[in-house]
Amino acid sequence: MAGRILVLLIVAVSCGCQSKNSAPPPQPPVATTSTVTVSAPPLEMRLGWVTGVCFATANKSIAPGSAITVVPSDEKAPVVEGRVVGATASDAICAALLQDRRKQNGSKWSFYELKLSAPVDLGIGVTGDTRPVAGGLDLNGDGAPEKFTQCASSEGVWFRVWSGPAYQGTPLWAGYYYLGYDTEVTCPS
Amino acid sequence: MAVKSGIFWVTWANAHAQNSSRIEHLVEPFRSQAIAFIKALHDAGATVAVTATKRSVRRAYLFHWSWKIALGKCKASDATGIAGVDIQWDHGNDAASRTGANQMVTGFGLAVPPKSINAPALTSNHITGHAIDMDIIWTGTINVKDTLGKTTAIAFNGDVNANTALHAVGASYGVNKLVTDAPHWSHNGR
Repeated sequence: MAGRILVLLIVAVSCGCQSKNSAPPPQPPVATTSTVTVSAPPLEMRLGWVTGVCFATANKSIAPGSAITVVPSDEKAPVVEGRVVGATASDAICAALLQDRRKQNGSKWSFYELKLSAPVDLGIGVTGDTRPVAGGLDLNGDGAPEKFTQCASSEGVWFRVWSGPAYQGTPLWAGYYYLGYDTEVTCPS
Repeated sequence: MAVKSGIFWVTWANAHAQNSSRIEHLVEPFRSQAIAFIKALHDAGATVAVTATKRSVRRAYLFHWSWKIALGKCKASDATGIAGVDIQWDHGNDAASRTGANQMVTGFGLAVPPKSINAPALTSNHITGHAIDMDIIWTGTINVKDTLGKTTAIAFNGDVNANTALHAVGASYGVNKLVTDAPHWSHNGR
């Protein structure tokens, strides 16, 4: 993998890239810089949140058969490998598309069905090649594992990836799953 | 006659305990305040898509107790009752009660994060009719009048939670932004 790295590009990463024609994307703002290889799309096009066998991502054109790695929200669970089956609009596959939440989630994310090697409840998915390092996955090429977090806000679940300590500074990536019902907040203030 | 917990109640709730996205289902004075704020946004050229207003207390009740029983956070016999929902949570043994509740958790698509301790809420600003979820979109900069008629130029920000100028205009109408959840506005910002 490292041999295929031709150059590191500094790209502006913005939640605003998540949808060109739709509503405002989730907050908080993501990091202003990240590193990617020329062989992979920007991180916000590779990352998304997973519920069961459903992958929600800003990327509108993931090819069926694409590899995906899922980091479950359960910290004790191992990373799960899988493949993208294809795009879906089914609420039987994606709970995020159930009646109470379809408008909010559907206007901001594209949805794909997954085939995974093990069941996942909630998690963060990364398409394409990933770089395993001691302690996890390195997504920005700095040799250190990123931190993957999940917490509840008033009516949604926040998924975030951090290059530094969790909940300090700006996350490398953030995704918001609108639940359409009210929950108790677990996200740090 | 009570009906045991299970998938029946998902179908029932989808028919008889739906949430609303109609502004007229909000309560006064928040309803008039939300209408005025949305009119000001429309007048300025923004597009507003309301996705949720008043949520059903009976639906919330079914979410709450099915989640708690399915996850073993309480016994089925602990569940309280609510008018208009003749559900039997206790099937006579814990395993069957949890199976019935779990069918509802799955059917409702309730999130079950690891180490979850907080069930879906039984009450909220949405349930009392004091909150509205909406997407507000425009291009470039628009001039929005606040409740006193003062015009504020507001640039579109893809992160609505960070658009403090928009929040200030909303607040002038009594419609306050909750900055953790992009679509959510309420009478008290919660």
